[in-house]
Amino acid sequence: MQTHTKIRMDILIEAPFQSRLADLLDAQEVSGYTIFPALGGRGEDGGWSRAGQITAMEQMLLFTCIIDGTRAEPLLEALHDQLAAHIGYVTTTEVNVIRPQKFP
Amino acid sequence: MDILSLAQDNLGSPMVLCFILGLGFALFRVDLTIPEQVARIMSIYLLLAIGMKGGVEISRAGLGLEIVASLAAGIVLSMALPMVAYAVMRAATPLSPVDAAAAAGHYGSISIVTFVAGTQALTDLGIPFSGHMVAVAAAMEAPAIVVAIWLAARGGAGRDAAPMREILMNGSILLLIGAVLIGWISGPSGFEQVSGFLADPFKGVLCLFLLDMGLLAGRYLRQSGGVLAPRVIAFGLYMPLIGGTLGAAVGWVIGLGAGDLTLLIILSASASYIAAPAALRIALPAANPAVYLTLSLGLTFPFNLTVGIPIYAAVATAISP
Repeated sequence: MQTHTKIRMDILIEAPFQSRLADLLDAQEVSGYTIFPALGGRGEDGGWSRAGQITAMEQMLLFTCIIDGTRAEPLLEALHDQLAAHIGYVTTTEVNVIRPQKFP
Repeated sequence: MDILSLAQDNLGSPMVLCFILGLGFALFRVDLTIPEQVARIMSIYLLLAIGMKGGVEISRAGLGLEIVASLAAGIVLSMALPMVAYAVMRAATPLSPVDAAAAAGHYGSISIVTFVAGTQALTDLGIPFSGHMVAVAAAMEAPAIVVAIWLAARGGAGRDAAPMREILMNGSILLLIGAVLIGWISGPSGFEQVSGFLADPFKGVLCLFLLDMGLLAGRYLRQSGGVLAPRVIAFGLYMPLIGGTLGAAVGWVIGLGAGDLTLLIILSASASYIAAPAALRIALPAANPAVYLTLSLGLTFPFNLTVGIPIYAAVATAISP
């Protein structure tokens, strides 16, 4: 089967920024993304766990989207402008998809 | 009232004992967790219950000058306390201006769970208090956050895009205000219809919630040594006394009775871990959340719940008219 190369972007971000990141992706005309909740983790200031938290304050979310390679650079620049000071990470990976029209 | 017997009553209550149990479990790494969604439901339940009870009391007592004076006192304290906390932190701890400003905002804002525990302690002690104090609690949440952002800007810290939406549309603050309004409008007869759910199980839910808070606080406390310098840890233990003293002075000036004065001291001594962290995380991304969460949840909250409340009740009883 023929496959097509696209860019998958994973953005781990603090939960309070969920709506702001969603707004940024909308502004960048990213047509689709999925949000995964993180269960817990550890950073340079210690560990955290989702269990028992009464607010979303100390929780992390993973946004995943697949976009065309030509749009990766502007999106990375916009993400850097908004998120440089925040906890989390942004990674890009080359992936192969079978329906390229779904990931403009 | 004897401070030792107050402390004994407080430490012997099932609510505080549940908190201590959770704290101990977390410190000794006992494998017990309360699911996140259960914790959130309990916090919504408590906000709804305490807000409606307060609203019902306002409908009974009517709106008077005392409410206006208490609200004004709360707002003034909420704006002044971050400035005091910031000045103390900059003078006595190695925290950067932005970390100090963010933490200061938490000390001007309030802990609604400490307030709820305080109202329960007063009820158990038979000390009456006004329902409108819950409205004072709600009014004290936001001003401190705005002052903290101003302090950070003054200290040269950059801030993120306008956080006013997160401050004004904070769900816990609005739920509390909404619950007060519902209680006020529906009155005692309206509350009677839901008292089987909102009044009778209240203490039991508070026990379970404080067990969860103990688990959370213990987690922060366990990490505090690695995150905070000793002078910052000390701040988390003496700042409630400074805030409480200011609250006592303001409450005494406006002539609050023992119960209301105790609650104003508790509000002034407590540090937020619901409304302030969410708003300040967005407003001041350069501030380290481990610092202000460990201070408010790992140090100040346990201090107030176990040692602070009896001290504040004793002081209020002694100085109130």
